[in-house]
Amino acid sequence: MEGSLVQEFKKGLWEEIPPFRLVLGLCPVLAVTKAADTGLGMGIAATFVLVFSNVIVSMLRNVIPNKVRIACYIVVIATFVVVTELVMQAYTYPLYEALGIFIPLIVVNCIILGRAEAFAGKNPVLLSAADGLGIGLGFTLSLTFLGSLREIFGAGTLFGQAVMGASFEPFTFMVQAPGAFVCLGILLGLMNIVEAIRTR
Amino acid sequence: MKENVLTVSVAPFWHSGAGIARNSYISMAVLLPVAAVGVMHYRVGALAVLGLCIGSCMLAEALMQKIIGRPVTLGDGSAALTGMLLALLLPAGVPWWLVVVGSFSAIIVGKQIYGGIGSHPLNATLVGWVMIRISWGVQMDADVALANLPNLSGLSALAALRGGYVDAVPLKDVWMGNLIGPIGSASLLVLIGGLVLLALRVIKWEVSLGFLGGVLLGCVLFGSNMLPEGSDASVNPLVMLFSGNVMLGAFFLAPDTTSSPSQPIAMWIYGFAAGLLAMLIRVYGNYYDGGVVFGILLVSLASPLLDKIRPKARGRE
Repeated sequence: MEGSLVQEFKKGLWEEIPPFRLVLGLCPVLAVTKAADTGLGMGIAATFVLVFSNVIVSMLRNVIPNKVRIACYIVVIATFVVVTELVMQAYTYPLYEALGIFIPLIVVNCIILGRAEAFAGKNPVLLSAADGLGIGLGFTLSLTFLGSLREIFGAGTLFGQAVMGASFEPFTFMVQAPGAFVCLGILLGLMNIVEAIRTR
Repeated sequence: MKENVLTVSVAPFWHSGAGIARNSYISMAVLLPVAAVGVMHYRVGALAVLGLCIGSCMLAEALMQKIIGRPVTLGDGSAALTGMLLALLLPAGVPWWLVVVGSFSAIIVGKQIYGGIGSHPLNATLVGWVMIRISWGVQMDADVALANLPNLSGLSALAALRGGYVDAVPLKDVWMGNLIGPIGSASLLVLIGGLVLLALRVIKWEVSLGFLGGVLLGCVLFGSNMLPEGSDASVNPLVMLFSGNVMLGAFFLAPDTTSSPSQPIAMWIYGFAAGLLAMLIRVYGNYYDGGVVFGILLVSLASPLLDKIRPKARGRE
């Protein structure tokens, strides 16, 4: 499993980009991508937690007893989630309000626990940091992209700026829950097509 | 050997000629009088919606099949039927882009993404209708959409009932679609068309009858709750049965071959549950004009599950 730093970083951006290739953490993906800025905010918050929890878990990997490792990982992750939450509450209050319950719920985000379990628990610190950064950046990119798409069609704006002209009637279906499912499904399908063409 | 359980005759067999194409064209033919009444009431407005709907559904089907590299099956008429049904659910005078988005959503999201006819879990027409109804509720409101057309006034049957104006919806007008409403409001003609379909065995009678039974039961149990509070009038169950798109639902939307179950008991449950749910949404829900649509859509999600209720195969214990 020993790979180079660059390789571990790069795989999060395409090969294992969540949530499209690594179909994990769908709950926040569906819930917070109503707009581009909430998607971006959620992505950055998750990236922060992911990098630091990966580093700490990796440092402690020889100390943590195997039987109680999940509980230990959760403690580490929860610590950083609380840090994120307090920082967001202090400095980016509107975003904190917009994301609401989904910030504390980062604790149970499958991507973060999944990376701790599948990667950081077995690999050295620097590699784990690169892995966390790559996956987190991939997650941020996907969330922002999905959020922009839904915001453009569903509200006619992008990061709050009107982009579709005055006569545009927003396709509100897109910013509602079923729109999230349809949009995510179509993007997943397109990613599979692109992947099939690439590897042909 | 106690009895003959299976009758097996010798070859050659004769194919009855039934197929997707025959069924779609018969359905469209029996809907023509309904569409004609709509055109009579709303003139060019209705004609435009009908044409645009059918045209863009067929275009979406052809485009999508070309893109994903499947044989183009416009000839079986299923896309055209989807378009026609969607048009009958829309009020005349809706903006053109709304019709186009609805048709494309119906065909692409509701049907082709799942692999075309025979594979889609939901009725494509209903998916298209719901997507535009949720997005552009104001434009889809019959009372608003028809305000653009001359010589029409009044309330749609369901809006009138919600407002408590029971006298404003005489059965005679409801039957003939004389009230404001979607293009396919002439429900007596829809019923006749549905009976023709039953006679030609295009649709399953269990589903239709179950659906009407569900609506009727709902009406008897809580139909008068649709009126505003304190009103002591009662709703004629026949008005409930013939208003809105109950008849279209019973004979054209609910028995959709792909999204409804195929075992007798399952078909009864499916139809009945859809009818009851339709009434619940119509009486208590916010989308009261879409009660039938949402009812069928929700219950068809359960149809693979319902299809597990089937007779045990003979010889297998």
